[in-house]
Amino acid sequence: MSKKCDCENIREKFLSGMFEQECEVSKLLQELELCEECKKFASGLISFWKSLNELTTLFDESLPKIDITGEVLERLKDLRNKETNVREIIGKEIDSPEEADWYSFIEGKLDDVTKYRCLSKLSLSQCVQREVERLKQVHQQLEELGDNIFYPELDEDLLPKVMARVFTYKGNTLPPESTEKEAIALLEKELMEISEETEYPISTSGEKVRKPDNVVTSGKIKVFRKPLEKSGRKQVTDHSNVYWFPRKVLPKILTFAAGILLTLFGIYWFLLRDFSVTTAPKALTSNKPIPTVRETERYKIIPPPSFLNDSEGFTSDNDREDDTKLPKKYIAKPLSEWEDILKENALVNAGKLMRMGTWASLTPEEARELLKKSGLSPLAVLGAVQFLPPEEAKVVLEAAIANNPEDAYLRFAMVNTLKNMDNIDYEELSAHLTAWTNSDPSNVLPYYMEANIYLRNGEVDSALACVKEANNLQGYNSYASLTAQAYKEALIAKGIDPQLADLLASASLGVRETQTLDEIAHNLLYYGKYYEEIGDYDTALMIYDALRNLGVNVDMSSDLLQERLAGVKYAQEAIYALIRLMTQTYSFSDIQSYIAFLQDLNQLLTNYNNALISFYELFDKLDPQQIIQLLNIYLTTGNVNIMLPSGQSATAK
Amino acid sequence: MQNLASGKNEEGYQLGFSDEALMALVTKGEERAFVELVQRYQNELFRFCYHYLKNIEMAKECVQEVFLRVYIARDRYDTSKKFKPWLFCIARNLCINEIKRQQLVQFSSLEGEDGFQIHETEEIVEKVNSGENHPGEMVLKEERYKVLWEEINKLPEDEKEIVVLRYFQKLHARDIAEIIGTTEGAVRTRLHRTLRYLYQKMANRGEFNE
Repeated sequence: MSKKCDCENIREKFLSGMFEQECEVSKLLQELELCEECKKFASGLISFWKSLNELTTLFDESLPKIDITGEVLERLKDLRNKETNVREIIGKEIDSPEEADWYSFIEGKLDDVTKYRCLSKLSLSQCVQREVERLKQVHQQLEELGDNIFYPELDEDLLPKVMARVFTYKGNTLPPESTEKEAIALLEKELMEISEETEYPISTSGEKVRKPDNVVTSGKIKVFRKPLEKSGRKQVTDHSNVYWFPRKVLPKILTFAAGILLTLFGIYWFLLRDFSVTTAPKALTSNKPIPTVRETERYKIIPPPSFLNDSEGFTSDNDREDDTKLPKKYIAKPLSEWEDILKENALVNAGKLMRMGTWASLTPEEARELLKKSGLSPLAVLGAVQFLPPEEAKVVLEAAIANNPEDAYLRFAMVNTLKNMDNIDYEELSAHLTAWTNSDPSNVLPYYMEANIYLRNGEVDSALACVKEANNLQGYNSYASLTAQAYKEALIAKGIDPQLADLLASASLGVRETQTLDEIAHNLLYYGKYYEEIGDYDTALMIYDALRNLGVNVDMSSDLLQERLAGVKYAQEAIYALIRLMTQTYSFSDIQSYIAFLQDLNQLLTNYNNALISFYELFDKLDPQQIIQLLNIYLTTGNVNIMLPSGQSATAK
Repeated sequence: MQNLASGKNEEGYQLGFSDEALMALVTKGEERAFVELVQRYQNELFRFCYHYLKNIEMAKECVQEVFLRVYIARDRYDTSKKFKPWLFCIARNLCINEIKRQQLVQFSSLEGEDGFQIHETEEIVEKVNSGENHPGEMVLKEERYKVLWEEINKLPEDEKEIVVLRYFQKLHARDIAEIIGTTEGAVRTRLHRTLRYLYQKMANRGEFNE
């Protein structure tokens, strides 16, 4: 019996097997025991399948072939490229505020609003917290790496080379073998050209300051006198610590100051060229005493006032000393007769009035004769002593000091006398200097005079010790009024008309004192320059500072216009020297205060010159009697402020 | 008055005048101010140029040329702007020109002709060792610095320049922006991305533990 055919199941299996796997159809026909009907179904189905395959083949062959794979791949590639480009653009150009803020947050440089925003985000997201912490670590390590990184050291100062290039650029050719020193020298030259408004012979001359033959550079510091206790000092404004100068205004003020300086120095130099403190210091290079102004040629080129240039008078101080053939007869005419001549001469050249005091003096012989007279007032004696040779003056002064040992003026006169002797007795000089400072403890003049004596001997250390002491004091007294009054008394005792004596004495007021100051300032400047050139800047600084203090003290303490002018000039020269020193050493810390100080000094110069001009203009405006009255006041006080128009004061302090 | 003999005060050359005020003085012909600026910046500028040129003599030469350019261009300087970025911008341009002229590849490597990297690494090790850290920590730090250094050298030129200016020259982002001619925000953004990049690189090399 044939196997019973499960037709329905067999036909399902046959269909699914045929569609899923064609190779199964023949297997199925062998494995299955099909009934006849199923066999017909299978053969019909196989025939249909084959026809279908043939039809498919026929379709494949008849339809055109299409391949879009390459196109699709190409388009995909384009898309990828565009995305890359966009990412690159974003990466390069974008200025992402958020990322920038996060970096600022990591750096710790963030404004409060952004910081709050960042902190808010941090509090909301642990993921952001982690990232910020990571970036902070990298940032910290980069900072450490930057701190510890090794750089090759710059093994030379490039400034000289840079400046050499600058000078070459500006057309100032520098020698090929230019050294640092030459470059700096050129720089200094340039700088001095900028400030050429100053008449400053030592610094602008370009000459080397020779080492003084007698300089003692080592050894113990010697001080003549016992140190004094500081007391009773006037308060002087210390400009060195003032830093008010606004930076932005500095260039304008520099330009303005240069203009003012040019103008003022023109006037000042014209009026006071006789008081130059920067003439070549011949005496410093030898052991000879520094010549007094009288010994120099300053006055030789200046004609004497015409009213003294007659057959009976002497023509000049030198002529008076050297030419004894001239009659020693003084003019004793009423002042009214001299009025016109006086006015004419005084106004032609303002300096003439001041020089009159130098010419109108006594010869030693006249002074001796005068001292022989009985009944001379003490002032007349002192006046006559001024014209004696030092050895004789010393004897007179010793007698006077014996009677008045506490008198500061007598000590001053004695010191002046002793220092002009051929063989200076330093112990004696020391004793009088000590007595002088004891009598007038706040006066800086004895200290500077002592320093000057040391400088003349080349004992710089000792001189600096004196200067240091003087720097602690604030006061200056040259006893100029007393000297002038003594001079006047001597002239009157000699028989000169009292009014003319007044005039001559007032005209001489401050002249000799300024000469003494000139000598001191001259020496200080010279030694300052010397130490500057050998590179001992600290010593140079100290010396220039001393000169500045001297100038300030003189200006602050003296009533004499001439002395004040001199003081201002010394202070100015000291400031210029200090600025030059700073330029040399590239130290600009105090330059602002110095410039401010210079401005004050310039203002003083203006005021003093105005006062002087007003003083001379009086001769045009006043009658002789008024002139005499004013001269008397001037002789007593030394102050010309009284002659200024109302509201104008020469004292600009 | 400070120590005149040495030419310096207690603060070196950092005196009262700002760079801009000094430059204003230079424009007025005050060459002392120019001297001050040279003294103030020659060392810093030398290091800056050295980073680009990687040669000591060339860097010196460049510094001199930079200051000459500053002097020549003094009248064109805008005193309302900061001096330092202006100075470094001139220096950067000169360095890049010099590199181009000599056909060098700028920032191709921070290892210079003068053995910069070798010295630097030794120096870093020396400095780390001189600290008070634990020896183990020191070794780790040393290793981390080396890795970081290598990764900085692999950075694209632009990014490397910013990193060098910010972390080695210690310039502010604002100044860097002025020097390289972009915005401060862009500099900060790029620095932020560079930090992320460096972190990833360092983490891949096992230098950071999560």
